[in-house]
Amino acid sequence: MLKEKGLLFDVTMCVGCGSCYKACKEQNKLPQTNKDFLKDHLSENTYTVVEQYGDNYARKLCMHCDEPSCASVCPVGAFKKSDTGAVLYDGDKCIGCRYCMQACPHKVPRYEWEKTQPRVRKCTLCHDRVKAGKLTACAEACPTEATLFGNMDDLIAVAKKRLKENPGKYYQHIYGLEEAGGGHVLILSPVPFEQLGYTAKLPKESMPSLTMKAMEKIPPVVAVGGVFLTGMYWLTKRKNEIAREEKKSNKGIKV
Amino acid sequence: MKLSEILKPTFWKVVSVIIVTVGLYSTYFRFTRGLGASTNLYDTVPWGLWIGFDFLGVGLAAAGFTIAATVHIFHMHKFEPIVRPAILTAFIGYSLVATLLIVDLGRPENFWHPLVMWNIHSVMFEITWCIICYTTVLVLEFAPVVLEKFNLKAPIKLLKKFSIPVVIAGVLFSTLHQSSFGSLYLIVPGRLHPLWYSPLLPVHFYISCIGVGLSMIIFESYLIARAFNRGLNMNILSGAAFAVLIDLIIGFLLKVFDFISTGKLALLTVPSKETYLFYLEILIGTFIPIFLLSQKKVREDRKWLYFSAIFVIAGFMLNRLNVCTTGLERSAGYTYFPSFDEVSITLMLVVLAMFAFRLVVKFFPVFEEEPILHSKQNNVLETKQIILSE
Amino acid sequence: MVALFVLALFILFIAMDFIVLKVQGKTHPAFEKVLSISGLSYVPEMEIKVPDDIVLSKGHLWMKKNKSGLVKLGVDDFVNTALGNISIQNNLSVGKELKRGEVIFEGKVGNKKLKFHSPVNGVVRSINSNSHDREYSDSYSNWNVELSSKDFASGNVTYFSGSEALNWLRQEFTKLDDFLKLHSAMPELVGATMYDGGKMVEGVKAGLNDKAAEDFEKEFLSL
Repeated sequence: MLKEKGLLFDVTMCVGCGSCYKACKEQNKLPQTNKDFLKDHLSENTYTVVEQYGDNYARKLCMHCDEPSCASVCPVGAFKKSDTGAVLYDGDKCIGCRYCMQACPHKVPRYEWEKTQPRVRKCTLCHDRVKAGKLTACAEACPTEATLFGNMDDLIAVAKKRLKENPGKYYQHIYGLEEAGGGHVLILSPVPFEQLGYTAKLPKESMPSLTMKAMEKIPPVVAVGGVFLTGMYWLTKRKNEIAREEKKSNKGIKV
Repeated sequence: MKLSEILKPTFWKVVSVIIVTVGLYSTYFRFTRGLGASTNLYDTVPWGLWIGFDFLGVGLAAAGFTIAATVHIFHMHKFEPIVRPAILTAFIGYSLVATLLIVDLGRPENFWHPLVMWNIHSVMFEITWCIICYTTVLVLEFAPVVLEKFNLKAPIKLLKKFSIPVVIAGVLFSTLHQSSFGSLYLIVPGRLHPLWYSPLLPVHFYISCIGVGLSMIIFESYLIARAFNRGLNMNILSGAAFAVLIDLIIGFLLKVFDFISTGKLALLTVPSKETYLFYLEILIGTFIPIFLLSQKKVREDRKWLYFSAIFVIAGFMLNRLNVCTTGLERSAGYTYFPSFDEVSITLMLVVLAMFAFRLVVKFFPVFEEEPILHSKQNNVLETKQIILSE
Repeated sequence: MVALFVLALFILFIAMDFIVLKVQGKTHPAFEKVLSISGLSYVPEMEIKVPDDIVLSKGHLWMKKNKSGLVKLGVDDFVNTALGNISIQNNLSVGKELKRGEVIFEGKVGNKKLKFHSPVNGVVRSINSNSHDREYSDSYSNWNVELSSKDFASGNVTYFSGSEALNWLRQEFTKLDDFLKLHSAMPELVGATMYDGGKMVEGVKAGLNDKAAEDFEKEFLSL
């Protein structure tokens, strides 16, 4: 069995060359969307971007959550967590309710708004390449190893080592390890993550668990509600009957 | 009604025809050009006016289950005359919601997928199923009215046997999906503004739908009185208004509890667009109607009762649209405003829903049990008239 | 913003409807003057409307003057409630001159005929032949005779309108209640057929005897 794969992106090592951006476009056969890749944003034709924040460059892409919100909310199960760790989308199932886009804590899924049969688009963690034993296109293209591809265990170890060995260089946090229950894209940065446009302050528990807390209550609500309503039906019916009988007997006495 | 009378133009007829014509064109445009061309939706604002309107429609149709339960489960037969209008409202409301949902789906041709492709963890999946089941319940509850018209007694008898389990199922399905509309947003704590986000969101949604469903019945009674020259049964409406009052007070207390227990009170002093809209929502939908309806004089006065119902409905509209648009605007980083096509398709469906209501009322005995004498149809008058016997 | 927009649209449509009704000269149900009847033994709980542009005469005919000066007349809600489905029989012809107090038409209840008297002097201009198509209409849109009258507003006739009409109708209904008490030979029986809680008398066919019909005319239909 394949070990779960993932990416480690180190902001301190990124020079903002855009190789990952271009490799991703090539790999997924996506059209050009912006002449200056630094000014581009995620869209149905762009699965990853490099954004400039002063001297720092930050990559944005699907975080491939361990417990993905998109997979949890999709009414038809069009999203699946693959055994490679990638979160994959099946356009044939999709009905286009766009709840995945609403629910994603990282605001990643994009939509083909201009099409009459639109699909949701996002990074696939180069599923086909990984299945064939290759790296993701972006990791392969990266000249500085700012984007590393590997087994999750190894990546976590590398990230922890870097934080420990260079405490002055890094902001002491591995983004993506615990955010929203954790995922398969880890990020290291010299500055707090909200300064690089990442969604900070995400809870550590997985997002689907927030919904499950409510969904769990459905069986008891149905059971208690059903019994309560049936009970009230008999009670109020009996009450009315008694009231009617009393009325009748009262009248009888008068006559 | 004669043809000449139907064709006689009145203000609202002309307006309706214009709205439907424009709406049909927008519908054509939406299905031939796609969502991008016809809506102002955006990647970070994937849900707009249409989904917001579905929220409104489902809440406003809530009287279908509350009134049915009041009469058939709790045996409060005073409300009997409004059971049929309430069920019809719910049925038409849900049909409107379903149609609008299909217009909103990116792949409307796949609308049947949830029936065969299951994901039981999805709130959306649960809502879809509850709405399908509840609409079936509504059909069963309204079927006797249609059967009565064609004088088919055997199926009515059969339906009567199952009527109580059907009503109970209807209440349960409604409870689930009305609250689940709130559960939809439980998964977005980072995106929905904390003034509205709460783990209690499903409970808030459930409580508010009961009050607004009854207010809608009150509001609708005036529309019916206006359209069909019928009387108003103030006795029933005042009773419903009292239930609205209780519901609003419970909803308000829960909100206070929610704000205190999650420490959100400080948010109320932050000057922002969200705070102002939140205040407006509470003022219009909670404070003013509670103040009005707590007075017996208001509940029994037809003018003030009408305005109270409008306040409750307006406050509810603000609440639902605040949750699904205002509260998400800041995190989306994009200010959404519905496009012309979005508005015109929505208006068209509202007009068609009102027209459908009118049509059903014309051909089926929806108001048959109303006890007001002077505007009754002839045959009913005869059996209920006051006698001058010896 | 969307929230405010939808709210504004909702309010706009309600306001527009008020304006449309105003232009049409109708009253919105929320603003109608209504008399609610309750607490009587034989008269059921109900509501009686009296539109602003309606004038009631002491003989329970309503009158409404239109722009061209013609006066439409019809049977009011009181009579329709008390007698149920009466069929109006017009014996007049267009052009006939009518003096105040003369019989304007007769109403048939069962096999009895009750006389209605014209509250004004005037000339018959038209007669509504299909005045019984009462579906979705109320007493005040169901006119029977149209007159041209010169003394419509003259002072020596008793008319009621607005809140005055409501007060007068209340008295009339109380009177009707007493009348029914007097004329129902077996009050206990009638009482037993009443609804639980309600005051509805059900399932008894209207049978007017001569005395009751005569008394009803005298009590309620005379000017």
